[in-house]
Amino acid sequence: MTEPVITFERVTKRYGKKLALDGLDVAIPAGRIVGILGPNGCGKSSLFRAAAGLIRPDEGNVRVFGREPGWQTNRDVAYLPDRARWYPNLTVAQTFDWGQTFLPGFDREEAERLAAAMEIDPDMKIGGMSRGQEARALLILCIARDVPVVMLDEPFAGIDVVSREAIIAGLIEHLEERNQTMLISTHDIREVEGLFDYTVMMDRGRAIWTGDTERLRAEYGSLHDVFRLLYRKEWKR
Amino acid sequence: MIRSRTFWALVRHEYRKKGNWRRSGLSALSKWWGAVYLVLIAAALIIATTYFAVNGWLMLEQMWYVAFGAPYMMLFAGHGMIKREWENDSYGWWLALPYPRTWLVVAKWIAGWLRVATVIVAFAVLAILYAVLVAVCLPHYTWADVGRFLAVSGDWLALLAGVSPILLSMGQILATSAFTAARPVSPLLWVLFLSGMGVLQGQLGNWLGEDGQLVTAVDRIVSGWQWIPAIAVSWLAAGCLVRLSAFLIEKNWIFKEEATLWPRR
Repeated sequence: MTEPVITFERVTKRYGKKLALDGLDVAIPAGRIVGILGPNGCGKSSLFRAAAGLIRPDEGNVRVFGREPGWQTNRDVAYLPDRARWYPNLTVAQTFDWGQTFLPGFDREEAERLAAAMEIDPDMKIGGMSRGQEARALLILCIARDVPVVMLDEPFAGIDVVSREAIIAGLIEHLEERNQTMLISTHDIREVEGLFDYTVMMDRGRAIWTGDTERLRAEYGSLHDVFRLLYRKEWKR
Repeated sequence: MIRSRTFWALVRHEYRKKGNWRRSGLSALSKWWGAVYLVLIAAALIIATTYFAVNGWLMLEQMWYVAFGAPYMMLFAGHGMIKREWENDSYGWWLALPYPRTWLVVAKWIAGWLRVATVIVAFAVLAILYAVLVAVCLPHYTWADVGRFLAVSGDWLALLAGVSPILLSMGQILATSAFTAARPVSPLLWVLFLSGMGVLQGQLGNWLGEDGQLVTAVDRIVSGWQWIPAIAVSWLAAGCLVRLSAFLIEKNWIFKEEATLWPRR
């Protein structure tokens, strides 16, 4: 196995009385497309936030490239936050200007190519877009960065089918050309399961299954079946 | 002084009006009515001031009484610059920027200061033009009145510039406390800051001369030096509050879906 780029060792995070991460142990290998899967509230977003250095674990260690995550490690990490929006008065082109100015490794040409492929008009204001179009523009802001790690937290949430398909097509095309580690979280795997070659199944703040997606499929069938089987087991406990 | 070009680009980005999802939901009709009310209020103020001026009742210096609202404008500017990330659901992008947290807070502080300064300087310019117009058009106002008004304007601008750093950083700490793990102390800070400002504004009445002139800022700085230590201490306190805001946003932010799990304001 290749050297992990992100590791969680017995990481616990509480929000008030709610336990978001409960002794999470997981290592994300380099150069893989990793699906972080699990039902709503299982700790996926907390995992991403901890890796992006936005929250401090109550216990345990998180390491990104062997270092404590924070603004310094974010030079090499592109992160699409969960439920993120953008400023309504800015156009897509101005949003890409922002990316070019503030996000290390942002490739303007790649962003414009992806925008054309995902049918996003650079002159359109974000405020005049549908949620699906806005989600595509924000996804481009992340994946047009030439950095070792890309983390997309629920990029398909609340998005219409057409936009989902456009995003998935854009991702597949993009992934063929880059050698990045990509983490994608979702609670709905029907259309995206073909993307992942490594899977982390989460439930109640813990990783309940981690490994090669092929091995998971060989063991249980399609990811959709795995999803139903594993979480039903968890619910029965 | 931060010399990085990226930092100053961050300041420009913060200064820029980028819209607000909450307000963008307002209909064109609501926005039009908002503009109508603003114009009506401005017209009423100008008409009332002109009426007093025509009758010789207006002391030009009294136009600066509007500056009593400036401290609140500064406080809410500091607060609003951070609050808009929360309202726009853009805080994830802001917090994930690969730059020191102090940069993020100071960039908003400078942008907020520039916005407030733009409004105050625009008011000062318009008020001076109005004073000149009054001196030209009305017989009971002289150029000496305009000269005195200019001096008082300088006093007020010096005073507002002096207190602006602490007020902006107080506004910022009100916002960062509300959106971070310091949330439980946020109501206490609001009470302390607003009541403290109320007491200070009450004291300002004592610093006005019988003719309504502000006899504090330049006069006392020159003659009594009482203001300099107070302003210096307030600037130091402003620096400490900015650092505290940066500390609070470093891994202590509360995300919206977790906000209900924290004690409410």
